[in-house]
Amino acid sequence: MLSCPVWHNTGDPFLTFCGRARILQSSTEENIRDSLNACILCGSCEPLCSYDINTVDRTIDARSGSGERTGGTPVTVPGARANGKVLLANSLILNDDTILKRTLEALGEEWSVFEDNGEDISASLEAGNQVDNYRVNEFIDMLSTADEIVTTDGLIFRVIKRFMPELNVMGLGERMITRSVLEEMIGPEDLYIIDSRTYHSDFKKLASIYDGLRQKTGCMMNLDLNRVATPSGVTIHNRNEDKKLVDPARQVAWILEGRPAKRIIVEKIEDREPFSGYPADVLFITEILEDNGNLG
Amino acid sequence: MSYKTDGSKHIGKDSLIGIPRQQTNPSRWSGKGWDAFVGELGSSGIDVVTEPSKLSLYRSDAGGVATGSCHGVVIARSSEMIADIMRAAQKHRIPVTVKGGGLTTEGESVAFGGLQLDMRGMSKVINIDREDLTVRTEAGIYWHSLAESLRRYGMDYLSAPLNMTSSVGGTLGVGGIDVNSPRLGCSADQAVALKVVTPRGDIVECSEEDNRDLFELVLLGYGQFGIITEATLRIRPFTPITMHYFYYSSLREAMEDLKMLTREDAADYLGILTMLDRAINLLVAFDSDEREKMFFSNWRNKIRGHGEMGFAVRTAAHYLLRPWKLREALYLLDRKRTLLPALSPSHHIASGKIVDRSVVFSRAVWRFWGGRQMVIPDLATSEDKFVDAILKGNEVCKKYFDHYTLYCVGIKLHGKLPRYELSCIPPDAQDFAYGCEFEPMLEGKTYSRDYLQSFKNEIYDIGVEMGTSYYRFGGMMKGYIRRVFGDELVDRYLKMKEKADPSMILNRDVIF
Repeated sequence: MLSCPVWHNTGDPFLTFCGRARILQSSTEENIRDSLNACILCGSCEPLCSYDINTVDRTIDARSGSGERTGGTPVTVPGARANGKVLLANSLILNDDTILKRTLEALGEEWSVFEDNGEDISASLEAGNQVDNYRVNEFIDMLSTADEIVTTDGLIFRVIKRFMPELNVMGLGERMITRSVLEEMIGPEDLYIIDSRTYHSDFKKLASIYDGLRQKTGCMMNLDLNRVATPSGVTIHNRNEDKKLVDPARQVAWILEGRPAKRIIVEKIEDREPFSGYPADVLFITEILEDNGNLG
Repeated sequence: MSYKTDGSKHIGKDSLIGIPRQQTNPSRWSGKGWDAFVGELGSSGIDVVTEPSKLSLYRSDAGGVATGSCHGVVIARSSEMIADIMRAAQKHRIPVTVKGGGLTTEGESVAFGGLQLDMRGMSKVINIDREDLTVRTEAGIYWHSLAESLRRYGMDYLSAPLNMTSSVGGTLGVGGIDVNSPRLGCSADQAVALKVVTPRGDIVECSEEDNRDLFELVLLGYGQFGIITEATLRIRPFTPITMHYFYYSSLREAMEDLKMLTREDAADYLGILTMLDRAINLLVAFDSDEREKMFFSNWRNKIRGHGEMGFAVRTAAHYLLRPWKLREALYLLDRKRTLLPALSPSHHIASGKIVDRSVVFSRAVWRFWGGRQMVIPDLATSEDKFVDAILKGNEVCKKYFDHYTLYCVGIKLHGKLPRYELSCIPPDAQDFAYGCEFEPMLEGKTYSRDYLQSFKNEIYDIGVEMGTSYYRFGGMMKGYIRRVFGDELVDRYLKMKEKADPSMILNRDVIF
């Protein structure tokens, strides 16, 4: 509850994972429907759960149980297989040639875009719809032949980790950090915005990796004292939706409080929008590499 | 009456052999006048949650021994809203039980009927004054959230409970003990000013200068004389800390050293955490390198604790000579293996210093001492009684549980303040008080409510016998209050309570 953005926005304990868990001890899932739908699946509660409950998976499972069957449109090419090193870029990146080019350059020569980014699956999970098991199995099967996968969607990262934990998958931020290409590009006046969904999906490993970057560069991050990443509340699927209980403007104001950044570097491309109203340069993670001409 | 456990008469292993149970839940309030009360609140725009599924969130507290059910819940949003509630509650004689973090262990924050007021809806930091070194905050805020806001400006609170999911208001009402309390006192002593809603529904600003009587009654007042809705607290610049551990195999020696170091102001943070009474860990920490150097030049040689390696060698030798205690040795080894890394996680360490001690300790407390049920009776003593009282409590722990931990800390007193009367500060304490929590490791085992309560009673009985106080003395153990403090003092407070709260509705089952 300490880190839950829904709690911070509403002050309503019934809308938190803890609240749902308590209600369910004496009630049915029907009584927690509003609470389930309020969750933004950021995973902030997961690293702090004193009972080590996989809170996001539990929430996804609970709310997809009675939701509608997905209406998403997969971009699957029949028989396609992922080979080598593949990037699962979301539609915002795919629709921006410059960003896509820079991202592939940042990853390295052997990387290519895999057509099926699983965005329909993450859309269904986020909407609380039932996801077609056949579709998920097919998606995972296609990826199973890849050597390395980088995804820009935290929910897809979670799905892959859940169903195929042995697969070498990472988020774009982790890939950039472990390639050591960010260290000289970031400094104490930068605020680095971590993609909370990806980060919390693999918290034990990533907390140390990101902390290393923070200590080496002196940059600020959207981390709280528990090293939990505060989300903006904006996702690839809800950018235009204003009915969510988590107000991105309020989240962003809280992230920025006491953090006078000159540049804001976002790991998740959809985070450029909520931060754009503030007097700082807002850059997608691979854009800073271009600015400094350090690719190669 | 005598009982046999040899099978001639069935007695469960968990039964109360010769131990009378002394505490029970209070009876549930009847509900008379509830509908009219809710109707009146509704006309003021105050929403009362009454769905049974949601009320289940409030059935118990961190202790898990007391259970009750309220008629409805209001999530507090403002002082004005709470004032409206209290006025209506007086009129309709509706019990109002206030809850913050809900970390009480004796049911003090559990409602046995009536209205549960959840203060966590008032969690905003209002103002941080870095020149005046104060923060003004709504009182329902968790200490963790307050620390979070302060850190953004390079500041820190002074002292807070180890468990950071306590609320500020709840803590000020009972004390708040930290490992820096030997230097700074309890959290309640860091309060500069308070906004309080009285049981009659008046909103009053109070401090040592204004409305001091109320200020002193509300601090350490167990929620009897008002609801703290805002607090101004002293703060300080944030500093990472350097931590050292010294290990003892003698509880007495460790406590004596703790007292000496406390008296001589030798460290910024001091406390004892034990694994049973075999591995006693004296924690010593510093805000600055200078204080650390002074400790090692002036006091290190005066204490009898060993470094980790020295203690490991001695302990190994001890158990090699006592092979029948192998299980105990393995338990200690496992505990050390899991606990010590948790107290120094790499992502909370920078340049060898702990940068988030509140988080590190709070999480460790939950993970290693909290669990699903917090059974932590305690004793609060004067300096003279500290060692004997805790040694007696240690024997009680051994009697009831295979594994347990003691957590001991000193508390600096700021003179003879009125707030210390009828509180966790023992009447005979001078300059410093000392507290010890006795924490069984329940380790997933199921104990009956009566078994746990009997354990607690036996600890509390030591307090009666020795004339100490308790950090937690309300709720189900309120029967001890008269036994410890005497009728005259309690009756004096009861009269004040009746005057301030004519319908006796505010937190009514906690003290009186």
